Amino acid sequence: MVERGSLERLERVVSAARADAESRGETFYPGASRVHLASFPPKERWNDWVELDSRAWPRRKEKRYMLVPTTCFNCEAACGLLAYVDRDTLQVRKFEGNPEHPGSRGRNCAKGPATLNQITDPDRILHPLKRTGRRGEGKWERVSWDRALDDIAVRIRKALEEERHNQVMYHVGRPGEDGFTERMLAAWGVDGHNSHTNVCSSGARAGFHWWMGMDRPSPDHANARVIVLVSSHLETGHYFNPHAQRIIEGKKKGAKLIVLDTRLSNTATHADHWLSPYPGSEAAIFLAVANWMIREGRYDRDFVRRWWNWPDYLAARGETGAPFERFEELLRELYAEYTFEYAASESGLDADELRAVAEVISTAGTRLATHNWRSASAGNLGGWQVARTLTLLSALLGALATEGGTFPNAWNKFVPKPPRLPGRHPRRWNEVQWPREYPLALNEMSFLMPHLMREQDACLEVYFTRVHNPVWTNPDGFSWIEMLSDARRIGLHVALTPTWNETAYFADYVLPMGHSSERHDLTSYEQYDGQWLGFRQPVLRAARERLGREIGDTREANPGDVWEENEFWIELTWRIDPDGSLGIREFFESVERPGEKMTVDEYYGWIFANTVPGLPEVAAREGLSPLEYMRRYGAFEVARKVGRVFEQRVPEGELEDVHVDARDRVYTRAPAPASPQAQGGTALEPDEDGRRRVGVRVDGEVLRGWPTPSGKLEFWSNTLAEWGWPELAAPTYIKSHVHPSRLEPGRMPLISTFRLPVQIHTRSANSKWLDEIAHTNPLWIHPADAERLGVGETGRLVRVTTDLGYFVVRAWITEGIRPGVVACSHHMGRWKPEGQPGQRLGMMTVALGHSGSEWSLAPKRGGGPFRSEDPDTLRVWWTDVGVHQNLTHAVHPDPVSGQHCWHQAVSVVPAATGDRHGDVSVDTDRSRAQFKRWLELVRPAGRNSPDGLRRPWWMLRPVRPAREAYRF
Amino acid sequence: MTPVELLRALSIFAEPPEPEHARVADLLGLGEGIDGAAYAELFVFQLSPYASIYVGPEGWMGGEARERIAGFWRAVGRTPSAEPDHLGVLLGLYASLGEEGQAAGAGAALAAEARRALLHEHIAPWAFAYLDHVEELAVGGYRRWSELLRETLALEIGRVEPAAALSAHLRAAPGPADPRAEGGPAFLEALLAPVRSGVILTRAALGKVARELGLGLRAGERRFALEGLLGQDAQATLGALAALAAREELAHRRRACLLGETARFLARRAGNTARLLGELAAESGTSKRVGG
Repeated sequence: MVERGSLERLERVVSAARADAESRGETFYPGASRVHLASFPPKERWNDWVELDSRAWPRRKEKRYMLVPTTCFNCEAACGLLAYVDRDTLQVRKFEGNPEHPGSRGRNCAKGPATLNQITDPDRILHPLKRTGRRGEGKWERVSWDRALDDIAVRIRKALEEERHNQVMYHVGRPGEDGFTERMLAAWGVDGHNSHTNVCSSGARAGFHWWMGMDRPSPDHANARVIVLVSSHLETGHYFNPHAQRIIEGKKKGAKLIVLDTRLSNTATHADHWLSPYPGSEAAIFLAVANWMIREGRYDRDFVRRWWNWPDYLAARGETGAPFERFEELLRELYAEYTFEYAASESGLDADELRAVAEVISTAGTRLATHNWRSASAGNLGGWQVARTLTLLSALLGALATEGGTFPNAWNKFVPKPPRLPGRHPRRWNEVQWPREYPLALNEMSFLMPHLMREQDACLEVYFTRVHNPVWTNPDGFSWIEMLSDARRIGLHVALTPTWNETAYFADYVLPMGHSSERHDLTSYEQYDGQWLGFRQPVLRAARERLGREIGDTREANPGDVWEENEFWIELTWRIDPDGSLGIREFFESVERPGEKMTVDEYYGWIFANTVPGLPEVAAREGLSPLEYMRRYGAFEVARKVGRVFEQRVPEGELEDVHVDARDRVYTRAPAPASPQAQGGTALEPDEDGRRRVGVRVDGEVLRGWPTPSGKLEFWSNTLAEWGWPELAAPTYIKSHVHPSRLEPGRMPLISTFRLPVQIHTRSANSKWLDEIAHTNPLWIHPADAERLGVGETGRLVRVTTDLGYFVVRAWITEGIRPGVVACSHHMGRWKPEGQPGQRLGMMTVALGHSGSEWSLAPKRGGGPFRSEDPDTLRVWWTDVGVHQNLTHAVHPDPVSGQHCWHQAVSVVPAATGDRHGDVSVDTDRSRAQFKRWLELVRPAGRNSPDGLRRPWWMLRPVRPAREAYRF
Repeated sequence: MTPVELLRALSIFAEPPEPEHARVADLLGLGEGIDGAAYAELFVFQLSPYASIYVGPEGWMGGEARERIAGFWRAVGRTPSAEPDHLGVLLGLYASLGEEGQAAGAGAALAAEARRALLHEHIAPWAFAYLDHVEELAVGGYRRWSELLRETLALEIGRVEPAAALSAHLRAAPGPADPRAEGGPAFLEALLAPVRSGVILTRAALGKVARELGLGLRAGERRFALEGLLGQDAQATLGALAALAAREELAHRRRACLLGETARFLARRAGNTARLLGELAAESGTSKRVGG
């Protein structure tokens, strides 16, 4: 029998011991256990973690590890990883999840642990290489970093001295970092930031941006009552792992999941309501739901009254000052035509099913979490209206920045201010990236680059491709090869890449940069209602430093001559401006020791010590410096439950000599309070007397509002109306370029925008584990279509003809796709030209044929086993590595958002005699004709700009140039 | 006041021991014997620490009982754990609710009510009988652990309002199955489901029966082993099981002053099982095979 007093004593003893342990920053109880389907080593044992060596089995041999955190660099989610560094050999043995990471919370998808494959890939690039033959010929010599740096620096310096700033361009695929490179380009004074975003997410971004002034959604899935996905976030997608785990949490708490996906994706299989619409009809569906909610009065009337810019809508109609009730009347009229029956006729779905979905959505209240990323918004002409009409539903319910609702990204993200921030903007406008034909494009018109360079007769002195592979990723890859092969257009092409890719074959320098465990970066992404900062670090460098060794730069710890970009850019900048005469070097000098180079330790140490609220205090409690803390744990949560920022009252201290204009926008003379975050976001115009915008007056209170021109949620966009698109200024439905009424007889839509769950674009072909799971991309085709087209059976070859040419692929006959639509993942189909060095895993060897504008790609050898230092490469059992379909895709720039509209109108027939799997044939003259055809849709700034600018000043823009550069 | 930290500390021992367990074991004075082998013997082979096994009509892990417990997690605004009915997890939840109940504010009363419901609905109907069996089988640290946990829970039972009704798990569970009416498989299924038979029949108990009767115990799961015993000597086996059930009935009755109707309900179940087994033993002279 146990005495009651004895139990009370034990309670006191245990409580005291726990408090004591936690005050030292230690975990008292064992970490999450197998009961929680996870097992994490307690953090105080990360420095000396013991596991049994599985290879020694059945002997019980202990192995000692140092666990060093870093951040995954495969997809954009930036999940936390823990590298298990063998203390005996100082090699990384495996990667597992980092339980201290607030976004991923110790969990990873297959791509995280597969980082091990990437760092041990026998074909990875270990040394700087310089081209010795013709571009693309495959002749390379190993060179020193010094030689490469000097060559590049001299060219850039000359361009800058000769005021040819626009001839320096940095083209990024996976950014994987926040702010470093933009800061560098601003320091150089170069408007040369080019991204991949317009082949990716610009469509969705535009839809969110026109509403909120912020361009990404941050759904609070875990607390939602209803989740609507126009994406496949349970299997792939941006922030897939952090979101998927929270979607499942929401479902476990009873949330209903609605998925719009033409394919039966893994995400669709988990849905309570799976809608398989005809591609491009998604906005019609959302408008039918909105129409029904408006008619039934199932919307948050007070939220709409307070936070929509409905007075702007009335004013645009000439009814300035009319009451809210009049707006409601007009709202009912505006969407009256979007009945369930209309949406059913557009989408091919059942009207009753759509009504049932509307009922479910209307029950969500403020707990409606919605997400659209790529998918329909990246597939269709007018796809940006998918995100805009989806946000209409959230805005009707007031489910924005609420628990269980959808937040704008900027409130769930933390980008700290770096040291020595260049307080200047490039004085020039880069017309190749930001052509006047697309003034409202949310991001650079990167995929049109070959056409725009030709149209504008432009050339580049130095062109960096960095973790980017436009030849393979972009549509119309042969036009890219033509451009990259033309020395008149591209003076020097520098490919910064950890591994070989189709674009690097056409480079002049191939410079090896580290994988996720071999480089420094800062990341922060919107994954729940909170803000976190993740630190990517070279783990072997960190491990050596823990053992007391001095490391000069990261190359000393990385394999071969592999470097990291932070140190590379600092070094390159110093060589561009060795004496400081260009005024660039100063931004890369030490803060503590001016005149000396800034080191990465100082750069990040300064950030962590000075601009991350709470971090210095938390670190101090463990007796660590902020940098040591981040090197030890890899992540820090800056804030949780950020909530409804727009409803926050502006403090009295910020209200000085206030002016409230006729639209209730509030301006102040008080300076903006200091913020630890880097500047960014939209640029809101001051009032006529130079006061800054501080908020908006709502029901007599001065509140923060939204970073839009009106300060409200922009149901009506004056910007769209004034820049030539009044008919699109309110959320509406645009019929896609693959709408049945626009298809030629015999054509059907091809969906190519979906990923394979374990692969990640161009980055994962060198992961043997991932390749074994997914290595090919057959054409999804419905049995009825297969029958109609005479395809026969799964595995048969078919020829898919696009506007530019054709590709040959195997058919996969499945009911998982709706009849009349075919689908083929853009993942896979990686290749290397005959005679080139490079990747063998996951790549076929091909012959490129070229005559005039006619191009062909013919596979010579598929995948298969090969001998290398990794015995697993002899065990490769698959030969089919897919088909590179993007080569046959014409460019389809949306005239408003600038997004490439990926869906293709294709015909499918059984393969012809002589056709082989993977064959591609394209005529680039037809590609130029398609470029011109789509160019006819634009409304250029020159004719439509209301203020003589190239682009609305307030809109988001990376490396924003100075105001004067906006003028023609 | 609920000893939340003590409950948390005790909860971790229902999970495989990690090096951190040693520190907590020292603080609790559990002594030697908290190790992987002892854990596996006790919690993997004999007495799996999942409520669903003891209150579910199938006597298996998961099923309706686990769903009911997961529903409780949701009802109190929490995401159900991956294994929401694990003893360690339930104790952790109880401790969290206890902590909330101690905080000031409107939520405190709600948390106290939730804690009471958790104890009466999902812990008390099985944990006391379970811990008695642990104490019987365990040696060293785990034995001391079961004593401490039982006494701590008993203290809590005394602190909270009595249950207004019998736990839904018990109300929903059918009683023993008579092989003469429902067939052998149904009989074995019910016998091995503690909430139906009122008896926790461990592998060790079956081994003891086999040893005492001089029968061979076939290696395999309990049902397979039980069929083996019945196949060898049904009368003696049924008689031995009847005696076990009668002992279990007595044990439940001894808990009646603590657990009230819950204990009386389980005592009735065990008593009915003992009587049924006795009858079957008496009849088995004419019908050799019972069960499978």
